Amino acid sequence: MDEASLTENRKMEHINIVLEKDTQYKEKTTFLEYVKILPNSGSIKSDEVELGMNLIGKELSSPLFVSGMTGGHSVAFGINKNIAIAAEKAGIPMGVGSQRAMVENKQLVYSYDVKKYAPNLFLIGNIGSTKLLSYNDSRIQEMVNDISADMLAIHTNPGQESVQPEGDLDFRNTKDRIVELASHLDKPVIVKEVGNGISKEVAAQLDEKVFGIDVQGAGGTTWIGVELFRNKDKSLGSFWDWGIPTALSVLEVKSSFSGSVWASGGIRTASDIVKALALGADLCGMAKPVIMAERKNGAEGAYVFLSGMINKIKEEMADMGFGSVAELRNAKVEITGTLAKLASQRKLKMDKRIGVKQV
Amino acid sequence: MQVAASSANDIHSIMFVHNALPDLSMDDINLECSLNYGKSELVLSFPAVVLLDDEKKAQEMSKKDKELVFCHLSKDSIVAFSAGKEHVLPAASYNLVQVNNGIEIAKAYRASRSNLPFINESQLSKVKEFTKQLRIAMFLTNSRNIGELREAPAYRL
Repeated sequence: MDEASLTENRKMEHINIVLEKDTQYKEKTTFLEYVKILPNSGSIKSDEVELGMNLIGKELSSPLFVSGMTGGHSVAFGINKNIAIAAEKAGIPMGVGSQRAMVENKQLVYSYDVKKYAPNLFLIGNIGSTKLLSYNDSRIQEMVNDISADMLAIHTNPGQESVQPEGDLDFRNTKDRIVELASHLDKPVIVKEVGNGISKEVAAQLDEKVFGIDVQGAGGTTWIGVELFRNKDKSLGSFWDWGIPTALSVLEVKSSFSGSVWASGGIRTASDIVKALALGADLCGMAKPVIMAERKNGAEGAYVFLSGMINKIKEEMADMGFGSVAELRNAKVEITGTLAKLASQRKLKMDKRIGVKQV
Repeated sequence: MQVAASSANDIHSIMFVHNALPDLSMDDINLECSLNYGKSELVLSFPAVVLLDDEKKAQEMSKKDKELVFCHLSKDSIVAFSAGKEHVLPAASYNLVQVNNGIEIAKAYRASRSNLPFINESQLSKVKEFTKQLRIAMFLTNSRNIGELREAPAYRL
């Protein structure tokens, strides 16, 4: 089997594992349970809450996005197409999974090229950081153009690669290559993890070099776990819970990175989203709940889920007296428990409005 | 000298800070660890020793398995055998910490400079497994060697 076919098969395996197996962190949470927002006085109706925002010149209905999941085979095409239709209707961005499969095999472009069905969608392309060492700038630019992406996400996944049977274990110069590409590409670049989080040290290396960072922290789906279902070597199970919890990773990245910070990884509820925004995230991403809704009821199922989530965010904010995301970002926040302890240990720089309460 | 099942310097409280962009290849990682005593040096190619109750057995096993260092505890020293050669280490300088996987070896080195991870005879069959786990832990903390691992960013839970 050639490399392109192997990649295609692997992508299908990933989807099946995520849908059929328990791939959630076992002992680690997002730490969002340690975030408490102090409500505003006064009452607001949920339909008065304004969630709209502008992202690189495009209007979004709310600071929510669908994280990139798949691509590269016919089932992935169906998933991407349905989610694209739903995300466009909901007015939020959507990412595709790694486009490596279509770079290796042009016949697979169709599985990512969803703007044909959702022309006004804010679409985020995707490629792995280690693949940047094999592909030159023009090849990446062509990959972005092929699907008319508005932005490119570069995923960096050393944890997943470490336990993947066919993993790429050479990350030398990937940071330099990301920075180089970001300066040449005609679309903004965000760097994202795949569920193990990003630290302040890594974020500092990317500061002013890329548009944004999607922390994709620990607490939701673990891609180390997904690969462990594929790997016959079960001795690597001790890495299942490796990673920086999402809330802590947002604080880590905010501490050293001045660009756009996105929160994803285990975001499941409106309360999670409101807390992540209050910590300073600009957007919040969801993946697994969206694909579950899409697999159940197609594009309509995904749309009902996303629009319902947007309404719940408004209700949550209204209950706390916040009329807009800007107000929420100025809210007084208290972090407690292990999140407070670890943030203090790391001397993370935080807004003065974020209080640290250590017991 | 202290010998602990797992709690010396609380290795379980260590949570490494994941490095999403390690600037290294897995092949760059060197697991060697040097133990200096007096003017001598004992180099561990697998950075945990095998602790045995019987000194003679430790010496014999070290002749058969030249990759590992086998140790026996005496009153105030750690008698270590590497390829049959004896090294007497001052016990007061080391905290012997039992480890159960490669991540725990990494945590032991990160938790304290005096920690010396050990396994027992029943864990000998797992050395290859522990080595692979340790290499991954070092890769994910951007540590090329044990010295860098000791300095890798970590939280204490």
